[in-house]
Amino acid sequence: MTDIRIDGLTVYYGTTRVLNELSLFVPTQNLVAVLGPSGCGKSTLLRSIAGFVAPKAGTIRFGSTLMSVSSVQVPPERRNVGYVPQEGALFPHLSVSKNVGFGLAKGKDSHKRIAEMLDLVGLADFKNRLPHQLSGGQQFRVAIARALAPAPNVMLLDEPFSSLDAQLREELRYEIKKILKDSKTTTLLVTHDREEALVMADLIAPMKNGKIVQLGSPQDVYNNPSGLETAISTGDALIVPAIKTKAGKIYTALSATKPLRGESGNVIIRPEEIEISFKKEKSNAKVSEIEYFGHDALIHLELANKIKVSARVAAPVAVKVGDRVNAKQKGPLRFFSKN
Amino acid sequence: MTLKVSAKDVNPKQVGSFAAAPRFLKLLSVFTLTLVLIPLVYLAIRSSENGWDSFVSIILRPRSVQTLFTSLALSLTVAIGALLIGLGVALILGKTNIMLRRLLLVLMPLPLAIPSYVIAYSYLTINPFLRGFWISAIILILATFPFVAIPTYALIRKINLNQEEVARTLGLSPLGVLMKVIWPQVRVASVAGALLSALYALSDFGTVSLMRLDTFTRVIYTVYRATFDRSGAASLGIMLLAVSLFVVFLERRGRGLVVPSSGQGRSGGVLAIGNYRHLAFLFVLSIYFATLVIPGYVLISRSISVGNSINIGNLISVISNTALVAFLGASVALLLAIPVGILSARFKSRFAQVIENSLLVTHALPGVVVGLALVALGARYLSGLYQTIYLLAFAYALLFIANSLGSVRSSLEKIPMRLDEVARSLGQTYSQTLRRVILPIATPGIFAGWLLVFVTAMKELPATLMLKPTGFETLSTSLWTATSISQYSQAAPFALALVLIASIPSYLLNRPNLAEREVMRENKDL
Repeated sequence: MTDIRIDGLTVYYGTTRVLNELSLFVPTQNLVAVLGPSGCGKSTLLRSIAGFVAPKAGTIRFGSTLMSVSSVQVPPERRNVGYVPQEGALFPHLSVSKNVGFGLAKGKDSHKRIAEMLDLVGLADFKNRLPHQLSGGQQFRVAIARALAPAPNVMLLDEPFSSLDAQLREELRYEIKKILKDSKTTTLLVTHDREEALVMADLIAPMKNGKIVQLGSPQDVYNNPSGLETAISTGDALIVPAIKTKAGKIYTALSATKPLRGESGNVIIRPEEIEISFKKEKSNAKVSEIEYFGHDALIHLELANKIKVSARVAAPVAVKVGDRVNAKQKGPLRFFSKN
Repeated sequence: MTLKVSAKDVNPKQVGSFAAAPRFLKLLSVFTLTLVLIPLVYLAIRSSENGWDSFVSIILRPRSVQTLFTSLALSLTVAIGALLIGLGVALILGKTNIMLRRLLLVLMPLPLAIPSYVIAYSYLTINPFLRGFWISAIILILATFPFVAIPTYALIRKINLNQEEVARTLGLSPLGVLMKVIWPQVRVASVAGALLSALYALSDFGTVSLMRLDTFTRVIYTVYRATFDRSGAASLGIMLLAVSLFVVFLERRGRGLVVPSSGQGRSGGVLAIGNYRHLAFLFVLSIYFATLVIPGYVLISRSISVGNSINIGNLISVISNTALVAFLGASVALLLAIPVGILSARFKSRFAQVIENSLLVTHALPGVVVGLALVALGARYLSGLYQTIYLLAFAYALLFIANSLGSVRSSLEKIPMRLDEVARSLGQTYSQTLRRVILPIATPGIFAGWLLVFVTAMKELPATLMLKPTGFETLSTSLWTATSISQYSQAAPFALALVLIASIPSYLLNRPNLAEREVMRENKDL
């Protein structure tokens, strides 16, 4: 159990810079999710921590122990990390219990540890099976047990659930989160799935162009994104033109009035922060389309100045396409200046 | 937060990178390459031993020029013939609904497994007066047309049927479709196959010798036998090697140009050629008849007719000799290939590529050249190994290391890199990872590759003739000896044993499963 301290990490593939002086702190026993689109460098970050990629500059430490600096790389086998790649990557020629025991020194204790791990992931009855005889979810549990068995310093999960179907993914998220919490292991998870990051992580670290752009609790990052990209990567976000006056007052396209001058920019509004009501005389929007999801619906609205926004409303849905409604913004105004 | 690196943080023992190949792999690979290159370099040294002028005068001798001309003419003829017949067979099997299509398809690669000298032998048994350029060319075409037919067929089946249908709606006739849609897509692969036929013709020794045609291989062997003039033979060997390498160069350049057909959509389909399909059937049937049925009939009937006089004890000892040397050769080839295979499949560095490519071109080495190089080297420097089965086994290893490397590499490439990474993260060093993860998973594939080299080596003729210890006979040399003194019937049991023990297993091991794969795909579509 240790924290992970990454400072100024820079990684090149050939001449392409993948990580750009990236810094990140993963506190002990926390689960941090690095969230970013594919190609943003998040897998490279994980692989650098595991020791598969040699960074050009910067340092990686586990606690105070140096793992990587440009001139010295501790080889992967001496970092004691638990690594769970996409699709688990079980050893196809070894049984479940041999997979789990792979990283343990041979001996009596190893059998005990294997049994313990299999109990932990609920696969004690499957210990003699071969990987291809397991379902996708079971394979993933074995991969977790195998990584946890040697009691690693840190756990590294690379898009862990991406190959599983939606329902299984949801079940496993909670289960794996609990297992990792109970084992008190510091965990770094990289994903492009915002829901996965929000549900699982203690802290979320949105990533962009090879840098971590923010670090905070899921709620914090969702409510106070540091930028437009972060807002979009953590959830549905409406980008609405706005003007900020010298006095600091913010007017958006949804406001009834408009100042004569001020700094122009955008505000970010979450669809659930738009309230719609039927006040004929105050109507400022027309319902252009309804996306119905069952438990809620997304009402697409067209404002007078052709600006499009949408509002998330709980079912049942009372409006229909073509209705004129009043749309009002009720949450915080997150203003981002144009420049 | 900035963390400074201080000197005590750095433990020099920990230096090492995941991406870089372990040094022992590099060293072993360099060792392999050196071992493979030594005989060839020595051959070059030997050919220039009497000075550059002597080398030039040998290769400018009328006889050398004549030999060069004959060899080039033969390989060109074989390439064109194999291209035409291979294309024809591939088109007919891939694009028409002739009778017995599946059976004919399954048998298509079989001729490659039968040494061309066995086919030549069976024709000589019927007519002992056959000889010369054209019969050699015909036999070599029959033996090698699958080099063209197999890849062409595979591509024809992959071409999206929608392309053909669109072409028809745009006003093309079936012949137009063939010329403007199919041919441009298979052209590169077919020509590359024809170059392999040309290469085979260049290095073939048995057929041209039985048909008394003076190509490089026969002349080199004759010069070496008659005069023990190793420098002269070496000069001719270098010439042959140069021509062969040029053909390999052409073939490898072509292979990179194959355009993969767009994967989506239906493939297959049948060209409507009406009653011509009976003619097509007869064409394919006659090729198979000449390549498989006639030799098969000759081998079996002659073996039966000499049945009583066969010395079973002798036959068994010849078979076990053959198997023993081939076993040693295949094993040495495998041991030498494994480090290079690991290096090129798991560490894609320029260093690995250079070593791999240098080893892969050795498939161009004619048996005569390798035999000559090792004879020259062995007689002068390795007297302990000269005239032993170990030097012969080493010759096999040199001749087949490219095949061995190919199978090692492809078995290793199928293993995801993630498995290496997981094993490393679980505390295993690279050698432990190799031993506990990579090699166990790859073993079945590597073994199959070894088996294929083993049975292929059993068919080798020229190097075996030059390097075998006195009194040591293999199946191919026994066949050769009996045939060279015109005892055709006496040779039949050896030829039959060779086909049963080596050819048929190598066909079964190497068969691209063209028909079966199609059945599987059709079932998946349902």
